[in-house]
Amino acid sequence: MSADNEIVLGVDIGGTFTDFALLKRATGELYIGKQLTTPDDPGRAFLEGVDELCARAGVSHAQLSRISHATTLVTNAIIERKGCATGLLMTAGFRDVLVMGRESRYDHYDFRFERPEPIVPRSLTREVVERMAWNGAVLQALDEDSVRQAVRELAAQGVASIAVCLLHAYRNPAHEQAIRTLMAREFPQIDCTISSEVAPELREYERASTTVLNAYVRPDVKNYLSHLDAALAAKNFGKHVHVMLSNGGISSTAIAQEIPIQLIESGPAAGALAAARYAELLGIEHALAFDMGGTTAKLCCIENGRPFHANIFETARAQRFRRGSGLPVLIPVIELIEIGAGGGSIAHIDALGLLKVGPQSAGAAPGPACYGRGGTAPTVTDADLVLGYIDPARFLGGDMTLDRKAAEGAIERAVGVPLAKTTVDAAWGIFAVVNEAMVAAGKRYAAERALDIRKFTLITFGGAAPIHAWRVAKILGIGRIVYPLGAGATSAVGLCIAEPVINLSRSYVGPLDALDWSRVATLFAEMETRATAMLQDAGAQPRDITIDRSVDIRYKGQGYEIEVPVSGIDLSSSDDADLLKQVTARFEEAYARQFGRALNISATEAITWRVRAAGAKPPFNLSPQVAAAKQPLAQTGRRRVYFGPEHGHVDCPVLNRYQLKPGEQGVGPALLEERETTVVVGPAARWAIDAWRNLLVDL
Amino acid sequence: MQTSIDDPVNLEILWERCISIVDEAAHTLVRAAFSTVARESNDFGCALCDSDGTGIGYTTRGTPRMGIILPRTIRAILERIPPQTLQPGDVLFTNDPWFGSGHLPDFYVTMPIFRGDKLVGFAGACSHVADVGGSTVPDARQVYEEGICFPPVKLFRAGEPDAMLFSILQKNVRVSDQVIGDLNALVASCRTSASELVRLMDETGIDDWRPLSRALNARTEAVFRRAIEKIPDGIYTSTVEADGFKSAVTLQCAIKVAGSEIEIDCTGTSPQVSPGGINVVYNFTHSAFIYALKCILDPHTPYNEGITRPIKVFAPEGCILNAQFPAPVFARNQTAHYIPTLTMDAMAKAIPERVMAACGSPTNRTVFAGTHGHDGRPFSFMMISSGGMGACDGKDGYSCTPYPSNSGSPPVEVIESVVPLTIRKKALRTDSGGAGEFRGGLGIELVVENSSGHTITGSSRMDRVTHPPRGLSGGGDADTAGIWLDGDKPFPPKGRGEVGAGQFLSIHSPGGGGFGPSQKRDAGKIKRDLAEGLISAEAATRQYGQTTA
Repeated sequence: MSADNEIVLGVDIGGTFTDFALLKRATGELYIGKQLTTPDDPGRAFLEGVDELCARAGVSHAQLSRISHATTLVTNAIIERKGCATGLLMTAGFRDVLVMGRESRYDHYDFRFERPEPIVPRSLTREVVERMAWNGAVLQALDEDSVRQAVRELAAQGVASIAVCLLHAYRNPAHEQAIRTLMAREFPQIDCTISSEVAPELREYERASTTVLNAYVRPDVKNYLSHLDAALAAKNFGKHVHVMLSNGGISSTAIAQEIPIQLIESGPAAGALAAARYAELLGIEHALAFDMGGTTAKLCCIENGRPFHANIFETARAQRFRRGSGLPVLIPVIELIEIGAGGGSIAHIDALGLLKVGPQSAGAAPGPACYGRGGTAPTVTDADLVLGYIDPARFLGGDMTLDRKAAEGAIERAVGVPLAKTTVDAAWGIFAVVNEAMVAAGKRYAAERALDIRKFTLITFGGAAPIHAWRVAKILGIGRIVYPLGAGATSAVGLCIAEPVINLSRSYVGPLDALDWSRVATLFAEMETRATAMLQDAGAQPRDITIDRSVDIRYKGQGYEIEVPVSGIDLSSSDDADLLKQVTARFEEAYARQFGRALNISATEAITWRVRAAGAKPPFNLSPQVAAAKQPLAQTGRRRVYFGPEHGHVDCPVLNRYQLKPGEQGVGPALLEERETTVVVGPAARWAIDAWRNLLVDL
Repeated sequence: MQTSIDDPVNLEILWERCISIVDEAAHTLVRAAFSTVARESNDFGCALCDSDGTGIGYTTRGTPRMGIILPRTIRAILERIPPQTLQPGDVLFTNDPWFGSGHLPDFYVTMPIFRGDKLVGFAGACSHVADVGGSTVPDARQVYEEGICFPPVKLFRAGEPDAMLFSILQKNVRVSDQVIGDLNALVASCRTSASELVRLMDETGIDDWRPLSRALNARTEAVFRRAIEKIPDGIYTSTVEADGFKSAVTLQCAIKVAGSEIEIDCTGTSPQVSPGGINVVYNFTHSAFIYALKCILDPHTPYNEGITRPIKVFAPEGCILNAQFPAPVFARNQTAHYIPTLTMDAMAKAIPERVMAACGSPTNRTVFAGTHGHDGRPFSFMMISSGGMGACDGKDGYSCTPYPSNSGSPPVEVIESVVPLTIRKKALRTDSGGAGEFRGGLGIELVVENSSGHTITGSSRMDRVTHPPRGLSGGGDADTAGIWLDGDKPFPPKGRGEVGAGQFLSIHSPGGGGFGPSQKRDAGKIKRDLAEGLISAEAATRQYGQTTA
């Protein structure tokens, strides 16, 4: 079947809901479904939801071209410490790499700061006799008896999985591979993960951390995916389930079973990827995806349809929003900025007498005061309700009625009285402070990346983001906001429209002017052969595969590497001087882009070489609505809404988002209601519905 | 529309904006900085001040003491170069230890911020730079031997760099590209602060930041005073002995708590020394006490100067904590890192549940220098070996974690990739943490082999060789630091020695002190420590009275 006729289904298992999307590419019809997540057996909601959506769309399981899956399985196993008993083998003399970590404190003042316990305790870490040099030379041969002894001891302690991380294995993996071979032969019951396969990159702590996390979750992920495959096969879906990796690419289950740690951010990656495809569809060069849910908000930069990525991620943070308080994972990830403020975030007065919002959250239980489920602390949702942005009678399409009096009471008690403000002013204060948290995060991120955030278009998802976006965008100086239709299941939609992507990396460290370029060419060739094979395994056609090469380079003496694209340079050339010149020019260009200017210094070092291989992007043609635009507006009423001290209370029209047709437009203030949220269009902003029924707002 | 500062919501939003501006400035500094010091060791600070030089925002990155000192330094510079002599585009600079943070490598830059013709504030940035000339070992007799010193000067006039100052600097430091690169990064950072602050003023209509800084400082001061009021009134004393340079030095303090105020008197502290750059200028002593008190009393409120108001610090002129010009000061952390311990030991007598036992600091540093075997290029590398943190009530100390410094060692794989050293071992030292109801963190053993093929030098700055980190409230002392050649030959802990080809240095960092009597330690924790190999069976018996089967 050609890609244009495929029927694809996406399943995103989140903490509360499992979301489904089914896309018939031939017609562009999109079906959305939702089930409560079944934490005891996540597969149950998965299978029920697939049945339900297939029935609704009138297709059989056998007709599905692909099922793509995003899951919190990996991240939950790590955060809740529910992985398998795992051991670690390290080079002799380096048993304590995990305990020592980065030798730093993430909190300057609090000497009682918390750190996550290492995944593998010291008592399950063994040393093996061997040593590689930095250049891959063998300083000491592997003593296989020391391996046998170590594995035997760990087996006796009951480990089901062993991680192996030897010094400089990114440069010469021979000893790690020999250990894996030995274990497969002599200890086949124990799963084995080697660092040179999971994360062949310089820096032993980060690599060891990644390797043990992978070993920790691998047996359970293998098990889970093969059960899903078997259950779906019983329903005549005869293919493997595909998974979303943290890099925003769809992948075959084989990779998920080998390197499951790559699934750690699969849900958020799917959401960002969806935003990226919307940006592409709408021709937006610089987009900022803004997702605000119950406890957190997320921002993601997208340029030319590609989300920003990072090559390291942090999980299991002792303090969720503190950089450095978690465990590092060296994997390619879509880069998301997480902010500890969402609809459920609690407003309070701090010791200085200032108004703060979050990071404590009322969550779903007891929830905001207005839910009437026992919550008494005022939340952002309570403020949004008091300001008039949310209709208490039509929350979640009327499935839930909100208690406005309870919201007012909570705000008055906890904020209004202590600050001597009216309830509405206090609610506006909460609204303003939480918006400020988004603004500050966006500005800091832009500063780190040397971006001019005013050039960006905000693409808005999630329950609370459409309520706050108008104000956040205004403060950031952003001129346009896009609100895609059906933002409630964005990640599931992303799963239907993502392409397969594989990132591979290898560290080969050295000054640029003394590199062995034939070795570089060999490294790239090896990585590209492997990536191509993995993509084909995921169903990509060889002719569609595109490959990007890059390398992390720094000025000698600098601690920051920057990733430099080096595609298009012919590394098989024997003219070393010319290669040096070309790569240096690319580095200086990338450096100048980020830091304003390149430095007049010739000493540069290459660290890690990277390949990104991608299959064809599946077409994304939501069925365009061609209905005439000259129908009366789908106004459902008016409501008194507070737009801040400069506008005060405004009698604001309320429209039904679903009844708005392409071409319709108007001027704010206006409220456009959806089932899961309300889009707030600020005063004087111009709104319009585009051909795909997205809402565009110009400030 | 003018935004009112009296409103707590606006105050919160404006403060957050100011902090966000300074963080942007810090990003500019870190990105543009040339040497590794700012980035790798976080040894920098950025702050925004009102037109009086009072701090309004500090970066959340960098080193706390740099932020604490910055506004003081800015005000001291302005006494030399008065505000009325400044014009837009001027940039002021000093690395005078008695103006800044107590040694020459710390460069301080400040820029007046003008909105139109009106001076509305100051942007400040500081960083440790890679070199300032002078001797690289801390054996100087006077500060003159430690490198070049710039008193407060105008580095830029109306946007034009002073070419003479730059060329003098360039001729006097070893890696001038890096040093001048870092200086320019500091200037760029101040420019970021300045332009963003003006933009914020345009947006909010605020034309004077002094009411904001007054309001914020008053609120922070009030919170800090309430924290002090909870400490029982009294005079609490402590004495700490350090190895010193040639001979041991004594640090002493009496902390008087009266109502909501604290007075610290360091009378009784040893006089400044010479030779040996372990002397501390008053500015640095002051900031170290403030830092320690904030750690104890209020670690979570964002820092601002209001905290300093209820606290007075007195150190007699000429003592090692108030060293007078021209005392050598290069390695002042060797002494200053004892100040948190000195403070906590005293406060332990009033509020033992709030403090921490001594940490395995000052951090050991050993500089290896020589040439690469294959091409004869010179190399120099500073090896850091972090000690254990002290225990506190309710919590064991972390192993191999620096405090009060926050710079650890780079990864072994990175070190071996750039210099001809082979790290043979880097491991926790069993039994090196002080015993106690809560155990101190462990120190480490680092074995470094010279694989360059030539003889190289090792220059060590190590304390705690003869004075172990002490336990608190009945907790045991930690193990001491040490350094040996080829396993058992002596090597100078404060000075320079040769390491021949293939020879190796063994470096021990100290553990952290224990808290509370070891008899009270939970049996499950003792068992776990044994299983994890953090204590030996022998120590379990000797220190905890456990019989092990």
